[in-house]
Amino acid sequence: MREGVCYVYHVNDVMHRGWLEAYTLDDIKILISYMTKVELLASNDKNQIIRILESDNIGRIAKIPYYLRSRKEHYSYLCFAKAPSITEKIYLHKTNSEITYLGERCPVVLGGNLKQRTYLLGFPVKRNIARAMNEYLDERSGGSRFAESWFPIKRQECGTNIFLHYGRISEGCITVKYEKENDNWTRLFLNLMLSRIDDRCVSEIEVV
Amino acid sequence: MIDLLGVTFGWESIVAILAIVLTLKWFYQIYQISWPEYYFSINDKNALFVRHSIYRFLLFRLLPPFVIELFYLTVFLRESPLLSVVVVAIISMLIYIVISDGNALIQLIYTRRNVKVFFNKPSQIIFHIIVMAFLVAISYGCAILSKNGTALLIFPSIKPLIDNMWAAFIGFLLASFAREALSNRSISESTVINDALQEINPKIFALIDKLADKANANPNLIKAVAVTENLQRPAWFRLIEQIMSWFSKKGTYGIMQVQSDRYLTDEESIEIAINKYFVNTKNASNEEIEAILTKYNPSTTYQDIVLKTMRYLLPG
Repeated sequence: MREGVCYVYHVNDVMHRGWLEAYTLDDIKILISYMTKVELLASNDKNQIIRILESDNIGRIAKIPYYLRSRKEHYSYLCFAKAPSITEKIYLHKTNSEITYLGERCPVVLGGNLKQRTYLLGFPVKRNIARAMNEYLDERSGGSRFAESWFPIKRQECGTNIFLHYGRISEGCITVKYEKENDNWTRLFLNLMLSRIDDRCVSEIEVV
Repeated sequence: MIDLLGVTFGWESIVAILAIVLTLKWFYQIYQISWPEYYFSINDKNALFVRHSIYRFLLFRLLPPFVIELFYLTVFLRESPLLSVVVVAIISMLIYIVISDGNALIQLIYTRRNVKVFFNKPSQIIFHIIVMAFLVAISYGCAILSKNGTALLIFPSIKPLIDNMWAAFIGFLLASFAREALSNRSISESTVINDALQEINPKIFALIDKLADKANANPNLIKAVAVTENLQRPAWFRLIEQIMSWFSKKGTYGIMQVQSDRYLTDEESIEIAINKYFVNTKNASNEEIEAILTKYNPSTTYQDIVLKTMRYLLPG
């Protein structure tokens, strides 16, 4: 595989759920989300060395394994895919308790009192789901393999302690409602990962 | 037989020493920290809980060595003279002290990085020495008590202990077998697909990406077919097909199991399959994909596995 700028790509299967496990050069485990821009610095038989170019891990150098590996043959997690190009923002309609994005509507549960303004959405972080909530991951009944990915809502006034995420319960967050007959989160997640504001934010959410 | 300090050591003495040291080591390892070497640790909730009270601390630090040592001395050295029992008790405890508190003490004195000083260093050193002295005293007490009628009554001798261990072992095997037989566990589809996926040669996926791009084909659909075919006819089976082709040319070959009048490699089968079935399928609808799969293999079970594999690779 040639060196250069590429994206973390082959991680949206059921086993990876949108996350690539990587290790920094001093062996600290980090998780890199689907479609994060990286620079491939070097490849050897066991690993690839990358520099992360987006997300809160920006600038870090990490080792990643191969998706498939047999003796000298490798199939990388990385891909020189088309760069994310969606620039539309998400609209949160507080009165209807729904968000609209790229023409689609998703019901949400609102726990807090967000002011009417535009907030930035950061790159997702991984939040492990409690065993009791495993249905959120079960795609046979409306769950999503990306249910563990939570997008931080960046607020200047009080940091990034609220998120856009999937589920039923909201403790101040914007929770895209889990419905057994409807998987809203997968489409929303994939589209958000193809969207960019800058190298730390994927999109914006405007409260109306 | 070994003579040491005027005491004769039989195999029972050696086994007792080993059993005491290993059981103590394992007992404290259950707590998943390097307990008790670092029992002043504040980063572990077990350590915090025990350290919080001096009574709890002493109980936790001294009671297990007492019970374990008394048990093994009574079981293995029931018939031995008191002097032998005392020497075995003290030797086993000294070995244990060297690998636990002794080790911690040396690391503390030389200020190694993995031992932290949680209050002042001399106090911590003195605390270790006190514990070590207690442990030696306990081992002496155990030796005396092991000759006491009550201890001999409570703890078994070797023969019934071995009989009971065998009974427990056979019971454990039967219970494990019954549990497995009745648990009705099934392997998930994802596990099966993932296993089949991991067996695919990486160059196959790379070739599919390259050829699919050229043919405007859906790479995940082709990969799903390749994984499904690999499930049904794994590499070793395809090798047999290759040998059979020396005798009868016509057959289905390669990872994509394409019909041909001659033997095809995996790579050739991919190229032929893409050109024959998958050109311009990049944006195919679900119905179109089902129609393509019906042409590829009319079995509905086959199509179901391909679709599940596709969904495994890519949601939607």
